[in-house]
Amino acid sequence: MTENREVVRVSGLTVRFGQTVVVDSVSLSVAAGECLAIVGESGSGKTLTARALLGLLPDGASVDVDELVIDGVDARSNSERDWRHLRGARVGLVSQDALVSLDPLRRVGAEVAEVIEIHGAPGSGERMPRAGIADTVTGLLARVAVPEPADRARQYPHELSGGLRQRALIASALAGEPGILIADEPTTALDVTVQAQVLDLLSRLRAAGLGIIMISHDLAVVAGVADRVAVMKDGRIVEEGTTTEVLSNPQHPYTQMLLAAAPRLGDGPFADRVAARRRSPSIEITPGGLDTAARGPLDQRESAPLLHATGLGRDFRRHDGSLRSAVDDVSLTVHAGASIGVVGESGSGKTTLARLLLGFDDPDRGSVSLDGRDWSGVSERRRRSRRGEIQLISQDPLGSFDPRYTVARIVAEGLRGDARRRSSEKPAARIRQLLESVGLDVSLEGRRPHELSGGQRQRVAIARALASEPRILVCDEPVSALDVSIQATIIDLLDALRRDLGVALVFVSHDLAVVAQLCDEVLVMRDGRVLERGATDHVFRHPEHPFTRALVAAVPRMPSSDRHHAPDEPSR
Amino acid sequence: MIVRRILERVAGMVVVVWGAATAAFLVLKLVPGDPVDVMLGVSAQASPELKQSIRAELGLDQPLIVQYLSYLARLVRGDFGTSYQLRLPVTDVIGQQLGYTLQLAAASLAIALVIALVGAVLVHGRASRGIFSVLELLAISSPPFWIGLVLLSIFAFGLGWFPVAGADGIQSLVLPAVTIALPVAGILGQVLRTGLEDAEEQPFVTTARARGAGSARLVLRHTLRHAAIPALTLAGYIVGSLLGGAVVVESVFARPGLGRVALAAITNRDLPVVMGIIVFTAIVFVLVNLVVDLAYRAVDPRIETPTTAIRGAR
Repeated sequence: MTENREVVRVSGLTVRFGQTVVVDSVSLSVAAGECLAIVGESGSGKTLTARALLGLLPDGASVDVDELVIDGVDARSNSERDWRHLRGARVGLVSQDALVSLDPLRRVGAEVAEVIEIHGAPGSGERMPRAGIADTVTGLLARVAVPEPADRARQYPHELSGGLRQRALIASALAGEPGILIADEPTTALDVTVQAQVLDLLSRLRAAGLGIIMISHDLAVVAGVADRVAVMKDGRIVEEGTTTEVLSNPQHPYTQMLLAAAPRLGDGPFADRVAARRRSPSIEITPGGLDTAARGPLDQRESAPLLHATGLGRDFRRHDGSLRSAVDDVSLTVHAGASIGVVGESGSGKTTLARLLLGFDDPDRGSVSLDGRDWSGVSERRRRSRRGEIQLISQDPLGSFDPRYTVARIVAEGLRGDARRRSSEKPAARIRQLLESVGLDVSLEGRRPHELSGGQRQRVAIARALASEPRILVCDEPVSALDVSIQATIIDLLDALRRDLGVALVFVSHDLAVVAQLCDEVLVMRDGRVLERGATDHVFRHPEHPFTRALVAAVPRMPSSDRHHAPDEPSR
Repeated sequence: MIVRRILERVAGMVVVVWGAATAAFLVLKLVPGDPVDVMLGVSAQASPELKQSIRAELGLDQPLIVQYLSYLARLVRGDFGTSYQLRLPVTDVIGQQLGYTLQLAAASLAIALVIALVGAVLVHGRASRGIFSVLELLAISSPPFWIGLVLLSIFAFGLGWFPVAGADGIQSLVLPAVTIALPVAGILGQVLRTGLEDAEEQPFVTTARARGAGSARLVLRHTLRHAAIPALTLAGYIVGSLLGGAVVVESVFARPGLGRVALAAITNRDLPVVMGIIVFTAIVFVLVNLVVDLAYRAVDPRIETPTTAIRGAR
């Protein structure tokens, strides 16, 4: 590794906004053909570190650095003009979600060609003729395994699938033949199977001699690609070492916490957790003030399903006029206290299914009944008084909050529609009770949404949903936008609500590991149909359908857990 | 699919023009006063028999519904009627004046675009942007006739650079065009600047900068196109300003043109001309909207692919 040419060498990099230090004396180096992963949660300074290597820090940032060598060029005293010569030619950037990282109004080919238009032909820097540029672009797209590259170059980013878009973005970063590629969460917006392909592409580029700095929040994602891992927290690198070292024998408590919090598939503790959960008494406490006596004990309710969907179908018309079934012949029964996972990639129909269950949309075929009474096909006026029974937790609660409302008022919104509210109870007391039940400090009730962290916001959203004493929570990717450590606490909260209040969960997620942690039963969806269903541990350990197998195989794993708990192995 | 969409579109345009024509017909029928009296002039001493024969000749003695239907039938054939005052076909009246107003509108639009682009693209730095915003706000809030008078008193009467009135060459076009252009430039500049600032926040700008793109390239190749999308929504307002501005400015600067004809027709109750101008304006708006829709598609390729949910697809 040391024999290889060093493409990045940084020492003592410090970035400040005013008095606040956001990156604190960071040192790192990357050789050609090597991949360094910088892992950390939001606010750790990992993205700012990467931006500093491109001279692309936001306005107001001041940089101090002892050493900053990029592809053999000392960049310490670079002017904006000097930086422009480096960017694209010696350093390439690949960001998250190519749908917005490629200019949506320009053709993919034009985006890939831009580096060559700016810097000229790689190496010589001579201006290239148009036809030459077009050929080079086609070659670049072919190099990142984009099929029919010449046709794709003429398309717009939105016309490409997520995986192809991300490949095109990588091609555009490679156009200037840089020595170093900075990949900032390059697979975060992608489905697992596509993510696996893009990670594979990055591995091959590294093998071909490219130096890669990969920024990620996900240790499992970097595990398969990175040679070395640097863990960042509060602007500092707290631990650095080879990937196997850091993942199998983490030294710093923060790394240990990150590893422990990361949900894993086919992991030992899963079966234990399920067993422990099964043993625990069905209803222990009633922090939300649920009237459990009126509902009867859990096992008596088992017989009558809370929510019952039969043969659901929902069609949408494509722009060429043909019909596409977003949901096709899906049946589903939810009992009190159950937790059902719905997994699938984007476009599999899982969100449409959630909307049908919630009564936000009516099915074209089949029906939904809630508590034994019709739920689909009835007027919204008749549905409204029953809406409190089934509530939604969405991925981005911030968008569902009025930014001017306080936490107390947001939660009170959930009370308003609650027809069953006891008149004797004071709303203010009830709000505090709800906040406590989701583990929020009552002192937060005067805060506004933007003053809360991501995890706190999701807790407020859950408290609001619980206000109407629902019996079912439909969760649509509720933890996808959260850091892993926060993710784990929200999953625990949902699990506790289910155990203690008997609230049933319908949990829609692209993340198999999260579903494995939380759900007893799972439905695997693709193209609107349920391919496979059954007990979660069985489906994930012995997937029968080839697609489920591919899905399970594509989930990134830590090297250690990979060896011991491969999904096809019999459970221990 | 495509053919159907075009047919729907054309049908929509016909409905709008028909609505405008009907509204114009009804409103002008509700106006008190006998058009024949107006035609003959206040001082004319015509016998009731003569008036009656004129009425019959113009079809004004027919029931309202008959008048309306024959009016629509003539519109369909492109016959806008004959001016009571000028004794010319309304199409000729509009045709003669259209050139002057088109000149004025085109010059105004060009000036407004240049000012707005300069203000939005080239003005950097907080202080200068602030000053430009205030100037834009001033231009938006000032009534055109006032701007016209101020420009006249400074550049025509004071400095004598431009003629006071008339439509004689480029020289005489400058002040009227600037008068109309200033408010348009103000609002266009603000929308463009906001659009540029929004676009600059997008992730693709970071990608483009990471390729080594300089600020000129960023604006010309990336952000300006994004800023043009909200600016296009202003097209209706701008055409309104250009036509409405023409009415005022052509009077202030004593220029011939559609605006002046419209003003004269309204004051003289020359109903066929007024109706003709209303229908003509409706057609202009419908065409402008069509062009804007096509322009949207040209600027933003994402618009072409709507996935619309349908009900009852069983």
